[in-house]
Amino acid sequence: MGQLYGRFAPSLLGLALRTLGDQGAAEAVVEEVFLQLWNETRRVDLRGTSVAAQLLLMARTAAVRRLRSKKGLANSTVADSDRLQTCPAWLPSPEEIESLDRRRELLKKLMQQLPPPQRQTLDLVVFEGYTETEVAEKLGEPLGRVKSELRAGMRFLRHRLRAVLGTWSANI
Amino acid sequence: MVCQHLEEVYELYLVQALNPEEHARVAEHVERGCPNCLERLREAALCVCFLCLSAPPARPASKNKSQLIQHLRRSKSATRKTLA
Repeated sequence: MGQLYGRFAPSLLGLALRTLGDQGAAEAVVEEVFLQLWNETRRVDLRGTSVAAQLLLMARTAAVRRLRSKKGLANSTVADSDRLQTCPAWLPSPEEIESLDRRRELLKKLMQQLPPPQRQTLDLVVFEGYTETEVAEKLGEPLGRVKSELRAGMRFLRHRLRAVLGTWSANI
Repeated sequence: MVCQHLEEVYELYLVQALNPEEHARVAEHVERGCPNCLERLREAALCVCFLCLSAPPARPASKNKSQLIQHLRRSKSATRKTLA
């Protein structure tokens, strides 16, 4: 666990800090997710899945939960994600996450290519835990437009990631 | 709800951005274990991880690691006592 901490804690702390803006709270989140992972590995076989993916998703959820509680907002769907994120069936592989990590500079450029409205809405949902409805209220935009921006932003990133990583999902 | 309608929402589902009703519909579909959707969910998780990694990393205080290890040791010790 010490090795995992050394390897992943900086990314997790950066993520939590981006969401919470408070060093102490962010450090508490990092400790919380490592303890959670420790308990999970005793319950679920996580071999073949990416611990980094597990930790990133748990850290994001934990940080958003704290932020929303601090703002007095409900966390109605967050508990669901905790359970789902420990399901190994669909977690990315270690190789996929390593591939992302190796290409951080390139991926940073991808983010910069996002149109500003899409970047703004993605930042609000990913780092501040807003729902689509809450984003629309915050920005004073019609919900339909916010939904379009979010879907367009995710679609853009998804397609670029497919190109960069050479991965393609099953055709539906 | 069929797979095609979910194509655009898996990332938003993972970051809990959907309204509760839509979230529940997606969750129910995912629970069925549809192979197409599991593959798509894996890709969405990769996209969300990429977004998480876009935040600049930060150096933790050195005491944090030793604090965590102590917590884990206490937790392990408490488990042994319970099982004994």
